[in-house]
Amino acid sequence: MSEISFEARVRATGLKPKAEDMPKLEALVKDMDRAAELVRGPRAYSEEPLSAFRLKKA
Amino acid sequence: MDLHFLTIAQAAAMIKVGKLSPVELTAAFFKRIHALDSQLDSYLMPLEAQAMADAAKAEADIAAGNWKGPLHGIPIGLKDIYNTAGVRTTGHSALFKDHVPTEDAVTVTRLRQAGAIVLGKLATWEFAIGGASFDLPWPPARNPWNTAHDPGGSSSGSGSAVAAGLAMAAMGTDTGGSIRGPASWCGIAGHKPTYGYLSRRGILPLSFSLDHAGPMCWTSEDCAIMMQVLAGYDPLDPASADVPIADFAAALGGGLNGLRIGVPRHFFETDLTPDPEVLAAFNAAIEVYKSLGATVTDVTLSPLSKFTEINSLITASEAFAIHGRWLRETPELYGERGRLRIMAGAFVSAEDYVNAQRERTRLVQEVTATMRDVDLLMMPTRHITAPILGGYDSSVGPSLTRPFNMTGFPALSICNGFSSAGLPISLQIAGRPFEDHIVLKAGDAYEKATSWRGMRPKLEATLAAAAN
Repeated sequence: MSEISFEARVRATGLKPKAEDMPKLEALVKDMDRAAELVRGPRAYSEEPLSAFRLKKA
Repeated sequence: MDLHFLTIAQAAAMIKVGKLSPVELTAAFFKRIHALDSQLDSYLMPLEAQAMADAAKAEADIAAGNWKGPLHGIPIGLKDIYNTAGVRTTGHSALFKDHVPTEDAVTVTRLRQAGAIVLGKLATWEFAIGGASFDLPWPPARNPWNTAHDPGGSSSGSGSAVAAGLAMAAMGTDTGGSIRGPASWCGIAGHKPTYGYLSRRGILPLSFSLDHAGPMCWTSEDCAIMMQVLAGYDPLDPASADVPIADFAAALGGGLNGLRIGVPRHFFETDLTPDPEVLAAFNAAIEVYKSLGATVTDVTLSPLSKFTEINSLITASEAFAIHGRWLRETPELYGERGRLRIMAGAFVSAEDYVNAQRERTRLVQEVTATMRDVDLLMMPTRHITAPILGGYDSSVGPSLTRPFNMTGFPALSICNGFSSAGLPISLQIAGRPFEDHIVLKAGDAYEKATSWRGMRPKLEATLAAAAN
């Protein structure tokens, strides 16, 4: 399967960055992709995310 | 007497007994703002007429025997992401340049009810992200210790104004270090409280699960005074914690015997490379704590990069959820740094975002377990001193402040010395949830045991040198 180009990923977001923004944006997205690798390890199916959703008695 | 360099504690004691006039004090700050802020750009919007009217009312109330407490008549500034009723709240952005809220932020209401005088709205990085930018409607704030240098951010105007004596205290916000970073580089005390201790309602959000409001002052004692007014349950802030509020002032003093300090030395000795002067100042500070009766042990946590990168992932995702519509419709109204940093959040998948929050639970559990054996964690706040303005990119490299946004644990930055170039160096003190009073007690003890709080930027001399 061929890798999706960065330009195609940008189009999918609906964003229209200026041409001169593209290299810097691509570098920042690479940082995001690297960060995402850190959270993709195995984990128990029941492991909960941290959440601020706490109901309080009315 | 330099009224503009009084601490809140000093000024409050004088105001209470009628030895210092809130009108005289507020006027002294505006005199200094008019004289010096054109070189610092810490204020976006001074609010002189309203502040002087509020000061006159405070003076009359106090004279009539209605002293409200130690913030009554104290002049403060607000980072311009705190909503102010009838007064523009811009986020330092062209996008919000005409945004006039109808209500004050909850924290601003609490400060006003305590009698604080709002001097004006202070510079920030655009919407509290990115870095010092020169393509926004207002210039970036500068560092009063050397105006060629960065004051840090995103609460850049708050750090600059407090250090320069252009506000006695200020409010900042902190999503990845935006209170503690400018506190570090401007040589002041900045406290990021426990997540949920202070209401976030009425503050322009950046990242809902990471944003914290907090005070920035000259001393930890002043931060404690501010915290007494600021902390409190807000039923309309879904993250607000309904917990008892500590007596912050009562917690100060009394020595540090038995206090257990943990040092995650790998954070700043192997996970990144510190400036040798920062490392030496940290080690000297630890010796001070030992001399005050604390015990010190090294502890090990996950690599600093893990805290930092997952913090970035969550921040960008949540920020894009807020800004996505505007970034698609009017990207030209953002500066480059803010625009690109937030746009990057569009590329994070839902799966990765949720798993980042699941990983965050693990990190909270890890730090909680570590802090069963120690009361506080200590490390430098920043591994370097303030760089040249415009050269710093907050998205690059590990950050010593982000672990405490990820966990929500309280963390304070205090000044623990100066570099050979005369720039401030800082110490970060983190504690267990809702033990902010212990963090502030430790900061206060260090400040009173050392001489750093006696040093102020010689701004007039700096500006004269720059002009020649």
